[in-house]
Amino acid sequence: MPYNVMVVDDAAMMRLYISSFLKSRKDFKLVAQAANGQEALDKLPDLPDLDLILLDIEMPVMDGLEFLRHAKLKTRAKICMLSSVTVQGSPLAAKARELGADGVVSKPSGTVSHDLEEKTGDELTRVMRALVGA
Amino acid sequence: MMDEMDEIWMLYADDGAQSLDAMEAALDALEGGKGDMGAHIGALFRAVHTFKGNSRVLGLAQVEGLAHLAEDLIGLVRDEGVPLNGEITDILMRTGDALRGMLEETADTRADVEPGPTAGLKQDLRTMIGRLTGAEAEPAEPAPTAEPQPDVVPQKAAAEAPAAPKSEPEPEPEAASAPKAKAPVFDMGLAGLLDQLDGGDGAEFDEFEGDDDEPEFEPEDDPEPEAELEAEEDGAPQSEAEAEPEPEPEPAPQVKTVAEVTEGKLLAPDSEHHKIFNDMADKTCAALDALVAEWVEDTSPRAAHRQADNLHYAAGQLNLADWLALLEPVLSGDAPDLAATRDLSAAIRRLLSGESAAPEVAEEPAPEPEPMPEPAVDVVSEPVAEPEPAPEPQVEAKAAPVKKTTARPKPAAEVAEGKLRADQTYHQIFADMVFKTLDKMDALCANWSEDSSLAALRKEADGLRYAAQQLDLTGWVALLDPVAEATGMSHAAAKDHVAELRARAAQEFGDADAAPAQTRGPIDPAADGRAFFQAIAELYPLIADQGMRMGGDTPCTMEERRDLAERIADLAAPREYVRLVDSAHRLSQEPAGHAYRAAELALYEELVSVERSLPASVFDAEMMPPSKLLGAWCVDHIFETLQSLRKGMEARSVEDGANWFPAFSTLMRQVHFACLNYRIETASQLTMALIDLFARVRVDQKAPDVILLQMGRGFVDTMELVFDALDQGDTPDTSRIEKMFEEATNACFVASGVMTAKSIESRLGLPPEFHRVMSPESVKTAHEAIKEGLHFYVLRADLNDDDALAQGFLEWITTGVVRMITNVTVFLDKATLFDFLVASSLEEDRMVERLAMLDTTGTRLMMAQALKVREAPEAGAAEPDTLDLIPMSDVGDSLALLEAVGAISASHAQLEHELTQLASVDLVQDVMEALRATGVGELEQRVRSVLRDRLEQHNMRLQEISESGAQLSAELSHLQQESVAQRSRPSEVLLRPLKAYVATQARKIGVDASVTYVGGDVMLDQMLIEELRGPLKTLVNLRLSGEYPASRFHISVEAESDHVRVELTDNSPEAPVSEAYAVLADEMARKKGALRRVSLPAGAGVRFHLRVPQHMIVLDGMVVRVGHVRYVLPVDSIHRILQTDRLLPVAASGGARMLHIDEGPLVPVHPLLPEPADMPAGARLYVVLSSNQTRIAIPVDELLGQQLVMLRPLQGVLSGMRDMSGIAVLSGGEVGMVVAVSALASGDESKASVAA
Repeated sequence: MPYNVMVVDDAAMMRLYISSFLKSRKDFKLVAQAANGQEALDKLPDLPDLDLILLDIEMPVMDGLEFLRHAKLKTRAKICMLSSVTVQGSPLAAKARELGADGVVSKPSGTVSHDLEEKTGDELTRVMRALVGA
Repeated sequence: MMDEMDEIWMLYADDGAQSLDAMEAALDALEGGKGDMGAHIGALFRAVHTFKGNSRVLGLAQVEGLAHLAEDLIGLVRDEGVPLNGEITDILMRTGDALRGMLEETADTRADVEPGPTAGLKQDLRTMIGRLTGAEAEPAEPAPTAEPQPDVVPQKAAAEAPAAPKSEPEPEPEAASAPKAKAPVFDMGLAGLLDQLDGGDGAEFDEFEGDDDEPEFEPEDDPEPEAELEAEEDGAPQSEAEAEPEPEPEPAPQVKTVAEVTEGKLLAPDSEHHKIFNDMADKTCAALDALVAEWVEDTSPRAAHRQADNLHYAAGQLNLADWLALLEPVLSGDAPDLAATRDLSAAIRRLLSGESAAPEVAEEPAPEPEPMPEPAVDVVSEPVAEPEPAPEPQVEAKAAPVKKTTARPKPAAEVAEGKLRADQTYHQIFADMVFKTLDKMDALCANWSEDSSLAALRKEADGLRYAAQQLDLTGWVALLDPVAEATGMSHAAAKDHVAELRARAAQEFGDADAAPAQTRGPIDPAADGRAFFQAIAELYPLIADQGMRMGGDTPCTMEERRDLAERIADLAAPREYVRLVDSAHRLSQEPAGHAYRAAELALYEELVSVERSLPASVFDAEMMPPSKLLGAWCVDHIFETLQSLRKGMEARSVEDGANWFPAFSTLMRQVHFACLNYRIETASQLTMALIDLFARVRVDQKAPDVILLQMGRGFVDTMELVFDALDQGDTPDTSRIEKMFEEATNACFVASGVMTAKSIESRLGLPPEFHRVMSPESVKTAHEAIKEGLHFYVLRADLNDDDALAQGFLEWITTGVVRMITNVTVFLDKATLFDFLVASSLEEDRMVERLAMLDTTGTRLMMAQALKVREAPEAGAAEPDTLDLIPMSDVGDSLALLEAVGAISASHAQLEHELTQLASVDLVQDVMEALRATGVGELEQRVRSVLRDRLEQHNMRLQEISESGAQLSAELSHLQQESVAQRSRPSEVLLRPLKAYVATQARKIGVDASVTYVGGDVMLDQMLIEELRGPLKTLVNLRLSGEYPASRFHISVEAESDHVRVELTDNSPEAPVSEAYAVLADEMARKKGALRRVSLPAGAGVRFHLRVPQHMIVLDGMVVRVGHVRYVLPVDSIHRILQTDRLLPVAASGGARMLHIDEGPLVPVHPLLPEPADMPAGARLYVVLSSNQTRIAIPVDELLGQQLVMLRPLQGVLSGMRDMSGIAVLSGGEVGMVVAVSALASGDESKASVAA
C-alpha cells in the first residue's frame, strides 16, 4: 500500500518534476497538489489518509511556513519542507524546524529545480521513507 | 555524623562568610579608588547576590530582605549610572556588618532573625533607593502578620518603573543589548513554582536527562520593593499587601496550582483581598479626582493612565470582569484626557457603590432577552472562584461597599471564570445580536433626535459592547467604545459610526440577509484560542501532578492517566488539533521514566504549536502562554541539559546513525525554549540550525562527523557561559553566538568548496531576492562559470500558465549554451513569476534574441538584468572569517579520499620509475651489442642507419612520456598536499573552545580561570586535533580540581615536521602527583606521543609538554637505503650529508660512536639498523639530522633521491616503533619507513649527556 503524498508548490513545473519523481517511487503515491498554503489547507479535511506533505516555502497567498504553523495542528501527515531557501543550517531551515517540520530537504537548483531527481532524489527518498516509517 | 541539614547549614555559614568577605573586599577597593571600579562593583553585586540567594534557599526572609535591598542599591550603581559616593559605601558597609551579624545568628539558631534590629537600616536603604530613583521613600515595614502571599508579583506595575532597580522583567530581545539580561521576574518565580510542583528536586528531569547533581534553582521573584516604589511614585494607595517588602520567613513561597499561575490569578481571592481591592479603588478615585482638580496637560494624563493600570492589574489578579471591562478601554487608547479621567473616576465610584459603570445603562433595563450569556456580577465580597469560598463573616462585614447585583445576574460558575467560554454557539448568537442592534441603530439614525437619540444609541452600543467583552472580541469592543462612551455626537458622526459597525459586521459575518443565523459568524480564533487555553490551564496542575507521580513511588493508575488524556483530548479534538490529541494519548501510554518525560515534553510542544497558530493578543497578563511555561521549565534545568548534550556528543563520536538523534533533538529543543525564555533569539535560532545540520546527517544513518560534533561542543561551551552569566545576573556575551550562526549557515558551502553563497552574491552583485537561496551546487556552478568567463543574466519568466513554453525554456537553460545557476519566485501583484540566474557565453543582444525566439509574444520571457562580474577581492578579504568556517566534510570520507589519492600517486610513481629506467636505456647500443653477442656480423651501413633512426625516435618518445609522467607526478603530489590541507584546521578550533571550557569548568567550582594561547594559526590535521582535545581537557580539569586550583593557563602549539608540541603552563603551585597524570602519560605513550611535566621554579606553576605525532602529512623527504630497507628522512631536518671515516668511539656509552664534522661538536651516530660486527672500515655515507638544537648522524648505504611522500601512521605491531613516525609509499612502489627525527634526537640527547 503506497503512502499518500500531497505536493504544495507554486511552480507548476516543479509540481510536474516532483510528480514524476514520485511516480518512479512505487511506495509513494501523489494524491493531491496545491499551488499555495491556503489551497493546501483547504484540501486537508478531504485527505484524512494523507501520509506526507512535500512543502515549498515561497508561495503566494499563504507561504509554506504559515501553512506549517496551521497544518501541523490539523493533520497527522508528516510534513517535509522541499524548498530552495532551506539550505542546511540556514535561518529558514532553522525556522522550519522550529515550527515543527518533520523533515527538511533543499532543492538543488532553485525554486524550479529540473535536476531534483538527479541531484537530490536519493536524499529526498531517504527522508520521505524515514518520515513515514517505511 | 552530620546529617544533611547540618551540612547545609555549615555550607551556608561558610559560603555566607566568603560572600561577606568578598563584599568587604570590594567595598574596600571601591573606597580606595584603585583598579577597575566596574570590576569591583560587579564583584560587590555578585557577593551580595550570592548571599541573598543562599539566605533565600534557607527561608531566611529577614536576612534575604536586607541583602536584597543592598543588592538593589548596588544595582543602581552598576546598571543605572548612579555615581558611587561615600554615603552609599557607608550604608553598604553598615549593611555588610549587619549581614555578618545575621549570618552568625542564623547559622547558630538555624532560624531567621527578628526584623526589629535591622528595620532602621532597611528603611535607610529604602529611603536612599527611593531618592536615587526619583521615587519617594517607602514607609517602614508593616507588621509581618499582615503579609499576604509573599510571592504575589505585581509584575506589570514593577515593569513600568524604569528607574527602579531590577525593574526589567522583560529583557530586550537580544540579551546582549539588555543592560541586565535576567529572566523575567515572573518566569523565574514560575520556575521555582514548577520546581515545587515537580517535587522540588528536579526529579522530573532525572530520568530524562540522566544525573541531576546541579544545585536547586534559585528563585529570583522578589520585586516587592519595586512594586512599592512604583506605587509610591504613582501615589497609588498602599495596601498592606503591597506595602510588605519582605516575604514571610516561613513558609517558602507557596503556590496553589499551576492554573493559578497561568491565569495570572496569583492571589487566591478572599474577602481580605476584596477589601484591599475596594480600598485601592477608592484611593484610585481620590487620586484621579486630585489629578482632575489640578490638571496638568503634560503630566496628568500619564499619571491617570498609571492609576488605571494599577487598578486594572489588581482587578486582573482577582479576575473582576466588570472592573476589567471598565478599565480596559481606558488603557487601550491614549492616556486619558481631563474629561475621560473625570468619567473614569465617576465610573469607579459607581462600580464601588454597586451600580453599573456606565451611568445611562445602569438605569436601563437589560437588552432583549437574547440567549446570550448574561453579564457577570462582580460580587466583590464573594470569592466565588474558590472551590470552597468559606468567607469570614466578620471580614466581609468590614468590606468596602460592594456591588450587590445588576439587572442581569448569571450563574456563579460563569462569574468565577470571568469570561464566558467562547464557543461557536455564542458567536452565532453574537452575530445575530450585532445585526439586530445595527437595525435599531439605523432606525435611530433615520429618526434622529438631538434630545434622545444619542442616549438610545449609547445604550444599544453598550449592550453590544458588553456581549463583545464577554466573548473577548476586543476588536468589537474597540469599535463600540466611542459610541458607548460618547458624551456628545452629531447626527453625521453617529451615522458614520453605525456604517463602520455595519461594514465590520458584513466583513466578519457576511451579509445579514443572505446567511441564516445559525451559519453566520465564524469562530473568532482569538476568542476560541483563549477559551481553549483557559480550559487547558485548569489541567496544568493535573499534568504536573501526574508527572510528579510518574517519577515517584506512586505512579498514576491507567484509569487516571486515561482520564487526564481524555480531558485534554476533549478540548483538542473539536478544534481538530490532532497532534495534540495524539500527544495526550501518548501521555497515557508511555511507561514511567524517560519515555514519559519525552511524552510530557511533546505535549507541551504541541501546546506551543497551538499557541503559535493564534494571534498574540490571546495571551496577556492574565493568560500565560505555554511557551512561557515550557521556557521556564527548560531554563530551570538548562545546565543539566547542556551537560547531557556534552556527554551525548562525546559518546556520539563512536555511535552510528538513527540512535543518537532523538535524544539530541530533545535536548536541543529544550535549549531552544530556554533561549526563547530569555529572548536570546539568535541562540534559539542557532539551536534549530544545529538540529537541522545534525538531522541531515541522521538521514544517512551516519554518526555526526567530527567537525559537526566540534561545532556542537562549541555551542554547548558557549551556551554554558551565556546561561551562567544570566544565572549570575550578568549580561552574557552573545557575540560568539552570532558568529556560530554564520558558521552553521555556511557549513555546507565550506564542505563543498572554497566559496560561500555570500561570495558569489557579492561577485555577481545579485539582487536581494537571490540572497541566501543558493545551494552549494548552485554556488559551484556559478563559480565554474565565473572561471570560464561566462556572462550572467537574470531572466524573468512567467511560466505557470504555459506548460509548453515552460518545458522549452527549461530545456534551453539546462542544456548547451545556457547554464542555469538557480532561480527564485517573484511575486508581482497577483502574478507568480520566476527569476532565473543563468550563465552563458552569449552576449546580451544574442541572449535577448534567443528569448524572443522562445517567446514570440515577448510577454512571458524577458531579460531582467545583465550582471557584471566583479573582480575577486584580495585574498583573505572576500570570504568571511575562514578561520571559523568549519567544513562539514566527513573525516572518514576525506581520509578515504586521501588514501585513494595516495595509492594512485604511489602507483603512478612506480610506473614513472619503470618508464624512466626504460627511457634511460640506449636502445641502439643495446641492440647492437645484443646482435654482436649472438654472432651477427656488422650490419650494412644503410640498415644500421635506419635502425638507429627508429630506435632513437622510440627513445625520444619514451623520454617525452617520462617527462610528462614527471609532470603528472608533481601534480599528484600537489593534489596530495591539497587533500591534506583540506583536512587541516588551525589549532584555533581546538584552543578557542578550550578557553571557553576552562572558564565554564572554573565557574562550576566557584573560581575564575583564564586561558591565553599562541600558535592558534598552526594547521593541524582534524584527527590530531581530536587526539589533543581529550588530554588537554583532562589536564585542565586536574589542574582546576586540586587544592590550589590554577587561575591562569597558557598554551602554546608548535608543529614540527613529524610531530606537534603543545605546552600547557599554569600558575598552580600544586605538584601534579595524582595517579591520573600517570594514566594520561601512559595513554599518550600508547599513541606514540609523550607527556612530560615540569614544575616551574619557586612554585610559580607547572608546565606540561605534550607531543603527538603528525598524521596524514605530505612530507618532502630524502629516501635512503640502509641494507634492504628504505627510509625517508624529512628534508627539513637534514643538516648535511657527508662521506667520512672520522669516527670516535665513546667507551662510556657502551660502544657508541661519535662523528667528527668540521663545524660544531661531535655528533652521535645512530644506526637505523644493527650493524654487523664485521662492518668494513673506511669512509661511509652519513646524513646529519638536526632537531631542536640536537644533531645525530645516520649512516646510510645509498641516497635514493628526494620526493614528496604522504606520511601515514603506523598501525598494529609497527605502532610500537618509537623512532619511526610512519610509513610512506615511495615512487618505486616500495614502502619506506619515515624517521621520527625528534624522537631519535631526544633519545640520543640523553645518551650524549650520559656519555658526557
